Amino acid sequence: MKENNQSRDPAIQWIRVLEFNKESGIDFAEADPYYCTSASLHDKEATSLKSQEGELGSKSFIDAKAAINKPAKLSPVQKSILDNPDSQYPLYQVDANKVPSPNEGEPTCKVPRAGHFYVPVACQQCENPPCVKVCPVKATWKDPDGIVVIDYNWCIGCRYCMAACPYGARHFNWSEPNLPAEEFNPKTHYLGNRPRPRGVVEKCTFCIQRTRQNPGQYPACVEICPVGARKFGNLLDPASEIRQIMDRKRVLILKNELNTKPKFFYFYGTAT
Amino acid sequence: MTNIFGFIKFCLGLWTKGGRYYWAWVSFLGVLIVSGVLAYSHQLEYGLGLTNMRDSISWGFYIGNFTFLVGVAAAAVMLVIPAYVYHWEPIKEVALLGEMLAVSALVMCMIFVTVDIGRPDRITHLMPFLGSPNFPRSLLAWDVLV
Repeated sequence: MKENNQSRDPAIQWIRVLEFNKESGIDFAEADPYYCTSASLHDKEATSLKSQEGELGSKSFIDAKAAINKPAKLSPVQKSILDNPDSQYPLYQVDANKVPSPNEGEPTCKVPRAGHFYVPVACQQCENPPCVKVCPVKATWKDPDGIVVIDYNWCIGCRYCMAACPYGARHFNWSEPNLPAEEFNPKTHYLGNRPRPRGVVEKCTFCIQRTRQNPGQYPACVEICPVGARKFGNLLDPASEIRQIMDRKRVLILKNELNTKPKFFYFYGTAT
Repeated sequence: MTNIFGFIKFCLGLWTKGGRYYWAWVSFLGVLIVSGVLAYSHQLEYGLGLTNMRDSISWGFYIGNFTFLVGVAAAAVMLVIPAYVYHWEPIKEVALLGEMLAVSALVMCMIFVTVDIGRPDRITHLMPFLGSPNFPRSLLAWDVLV
């Protein structure tokens, strides 16, 4: 069951991995979703150069940016990504001309960085979703089984829901998404893996096209996780694996104080 | 009806009358308008990605200007109230200017919102009867009402 992952500028990741400081714990004000991307590397380069060369720092920052060999022909969107220090692209993806060789293609920063820990954050499928409340056209709603879904054919792209979501789980199609015809999986769900148009908001749907099948499949992230860190199941069934885990492990709810009542729980592998 | 046509004709007459500086100013504004239209057609072609906004900062200059101009329009409309309450001539003259400012600010507001949304072709979804405004819940639907 292919997910019809489209490519676009900037890339959309339904699951963002946030880098937290071990000292401050899970504090979203300190979270960095752009660690190891061109933005954070630019910053680091700039600050290190600044510290080396004192007042010439700002000039060398420009030089450092120019040092990335820009491809000759760039679409305006690509150009905007290169020029935009807020770009969410890893450095090795921005550079379209360079063929990544085994050594060169590696990102220049290594994770985990000392003193940091990493938490993947996707849509929390809230029981009380703030994003649904603010939609001016009722293009998003909570389905009876709890999945918060978006009608891509009705969304006007005002991005109010993105402003409302406390988890940053919603993403906007800033440019034209594309998917080669041979990669397209024609088995789609209206609210799930069908191709999304430009200018609408999308987010994690718990892989609605898989989980709502009969017999159901796990969401793609649960199936692909190499260490089995993700579990998926029926919260209403007391015998389900997910309820067993919630009864026996230490469970964390992100931004519990907001009363959004997420149906996405983080548990600690060990009970220590 | 003839009154309205007469009014429009009168306004057009006023609009086309002016000295050299007036036309210089009008053509300067015209250049600004044309460049804006060109930029927007560019954005329509490539998508909002051109604005360099991203998911973390999804509302930028457009919405900032929109909220500012809404404030300007509201303040300008407020000038009308003292004019009606006090029946004082000088305020009524200022209120006219205020109304003009309010109308132009509102037009700019609507343009900024249209430019900001990802699918301007679906703007009818916001309208009552034509679309499905999420009326009492969403604050943006209240904005549309205004």
